[in-house]
Amino acid sequence: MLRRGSTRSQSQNTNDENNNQILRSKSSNNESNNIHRSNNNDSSSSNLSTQSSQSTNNNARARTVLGVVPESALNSFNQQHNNQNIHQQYNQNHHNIINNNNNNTSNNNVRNKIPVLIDNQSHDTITESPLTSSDVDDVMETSNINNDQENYIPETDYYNDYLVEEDEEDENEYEDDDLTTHTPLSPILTDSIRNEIDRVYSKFSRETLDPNDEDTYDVTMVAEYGNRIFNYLHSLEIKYKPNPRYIEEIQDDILWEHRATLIDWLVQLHSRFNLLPETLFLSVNIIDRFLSKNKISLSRFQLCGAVALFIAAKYEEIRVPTVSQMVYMVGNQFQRDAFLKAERFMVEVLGFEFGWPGPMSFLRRGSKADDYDNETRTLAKYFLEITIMDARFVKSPPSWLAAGAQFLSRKMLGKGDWTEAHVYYTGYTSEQLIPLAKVLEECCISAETHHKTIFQKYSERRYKRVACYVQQYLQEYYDL
Amino acid sequence: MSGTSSQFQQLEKLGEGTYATVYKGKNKALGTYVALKEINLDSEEGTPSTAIREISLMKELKHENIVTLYDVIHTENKLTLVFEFMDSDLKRYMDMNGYNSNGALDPRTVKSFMYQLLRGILFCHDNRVLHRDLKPQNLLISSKGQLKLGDFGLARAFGIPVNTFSNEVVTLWYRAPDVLLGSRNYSTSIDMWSTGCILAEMFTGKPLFSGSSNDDQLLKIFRIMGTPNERTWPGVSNYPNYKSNFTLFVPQDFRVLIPNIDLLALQLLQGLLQMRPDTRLSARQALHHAWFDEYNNPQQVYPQQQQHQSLDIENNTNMVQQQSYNY
Repeated sequence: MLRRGSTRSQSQNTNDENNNQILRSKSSNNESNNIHRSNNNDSSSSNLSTQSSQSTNNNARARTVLGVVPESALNSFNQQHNNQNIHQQYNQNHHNIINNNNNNTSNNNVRNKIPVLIDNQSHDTITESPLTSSDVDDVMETSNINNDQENYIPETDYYNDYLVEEDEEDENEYEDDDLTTHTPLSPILTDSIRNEIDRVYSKFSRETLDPNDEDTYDVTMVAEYGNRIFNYLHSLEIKYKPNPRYIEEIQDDILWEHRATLIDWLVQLHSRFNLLPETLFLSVNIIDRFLSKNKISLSRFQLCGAVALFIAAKYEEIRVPTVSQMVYMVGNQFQRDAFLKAERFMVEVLGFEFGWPGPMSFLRRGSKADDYDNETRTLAKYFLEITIMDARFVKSPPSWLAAGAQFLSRKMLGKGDWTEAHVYYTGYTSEQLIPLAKVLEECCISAETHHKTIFQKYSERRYKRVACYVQQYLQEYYDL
Repeated sequence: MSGTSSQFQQLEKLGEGTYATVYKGKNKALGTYVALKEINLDSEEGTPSTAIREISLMKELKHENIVTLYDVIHTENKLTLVFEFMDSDLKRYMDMNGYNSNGALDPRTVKSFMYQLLRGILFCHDNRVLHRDLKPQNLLISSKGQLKLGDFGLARAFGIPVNTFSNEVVTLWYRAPDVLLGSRNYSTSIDMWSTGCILAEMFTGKPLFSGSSNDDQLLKIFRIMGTPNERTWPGVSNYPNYKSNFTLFVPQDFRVLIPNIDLLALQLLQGLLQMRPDTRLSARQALHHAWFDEYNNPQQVYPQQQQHQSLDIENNTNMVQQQSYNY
């Protein structure tokens, strides 16, 4: 189960170089000077593989997440990525942050400390894509579009939409190659799976509320409405599904790597405003749906991301960041008028439709089968969050991602099999989730490049350092 | 989402809300009437979150007991929502049609409105939406006696479990005691309390609890419902606004307050006006109440009464089977 080769991390260095070449054309303008660049060769404790080295880095990383990273530190980090292997960078970044914090503690500097996406971070994309060299070609030339029969099928086509890919995925048997392309991922559905789900449903569903279930008495669980609401949410996750090929089909200027960079930044912004997880997921859906409909230039991409977060917060939150705060966060690159104009444009393009359900309710629903085991859920939240970084999950139904995150979480924590209760509450069988769990695990093997900020965030104590746990687990399991 | 207000001729003002003004409008091409809800786009914070939610939710909620949103006209400084035109709202309807000019409605009308109100609410709740501002002014009435829920400016979608929400919701007189006591963990039951208040008001023509402040509102409720304590409402003392020195009142008999109420309607009212949110009737339970037998069982009395169609309030749980393979 979940046994995979570790070719990914071994080929990392070559990947970086390849990506580097390709992306340089789009991001060659980072000339920021960096005082730390020259003195970074102490990589004595460059080992990512021990728990202790990770925890000592946590303080530094916490600051990164909270955005108190001096700009120079970020730049130096980016520069280093070009030349050195990731383990070394890891430590150097740590040192830089500490040095810089000693120098720049005044609040006046905050403005300069905010990573400005396009200018400063595009170098990050160089290391952020865990692609092998051949895959990079695929992405750049979008040659895999033709092989994929996936179309943006209207919501009425409840099953067939996903059945299209069933063959495709069966053929590929989840080969490594398949995982590293941008093939959009969706659950398979065969007759036998359908029968299994039917069987479980008829066994578990009941006419009346279960008097022995504590949720029946918990008003916040709205038990009476649960089933209907989840049916409705399933229809909404299909209705509001983005086009998984918008980069290839709609956009000229933007690459999937840019999307990853943008979302990495969005995660920082989101943490900094202390917003709900639902808001982060909805922002990403807003970005993806907007880009499915509208072509934008790379220079407006960060604006689009910030506005998406702003809109999502308006839909989800009790307290919303102000426009001034948002504009400030984009490094004052844009005037407030431009920001509001972008908001008006985006809500209009999306027809004011923001009812996308997101994965959190589904995750909670599935947790019912674990008796709401907290450990499982916290770890699952990490797996769930990393899906936003990855182009392959753009059109994956959030209910499936939630189930897959829970599935992998249970595996890693040794919580036992995927029971019928799990099938009932998530709606997915293990057969549908194993391929997803493999991909998620794969993403964690290259955590530092695949989802840097999320990795840092979930290495913090308030997230029980689950990301560190995962690293340790993978090292032991795969003998990395 | 397109077009300009030049499609519509703006007629008289119908009302003014907290963040919008509603006008009657005439579609110049078709000659039909619409309601135009105009929202000024505050240059400070852009599109109001109330508008974002209202439009997003109204586009999802298509039901015969919910007012229909036809279109949204978005211009530089104004957002105009084009709704179906309704002749009146329940407040004005009571003022104009209540007998003895005191606003009270005849029991047949009360029952029909109540039934439609509950159906609208059930549809919202089934689609994970809380209205959060139910009151007579927001219930629109057509000349044919149809009732539709309007003004979703305070509405929002909820997840499961329901997230913590703002405490500043629902017009004071229709605000549930748990919310008045400071709860932010309310869910569908918040709308059911308002519904109970509206039911009583239709019978008497007067608001049931017309407080002037949060505390006064609580007192007015306690005066009729009795002051809650740990015995009648376990956990009540944990609410943020709970005070151990609340004036003590004993529960009153509704029949004294609402002399013309029949026994079944009284039962329903008591089910809706439960102080404890967890014992309050849900919209689905309320629709199943025996008071509505004439609607729920077609062969029974009042054959001349128009049947309310597609009464899909059964089978709460088993629906999942049909749809939930998620792909």
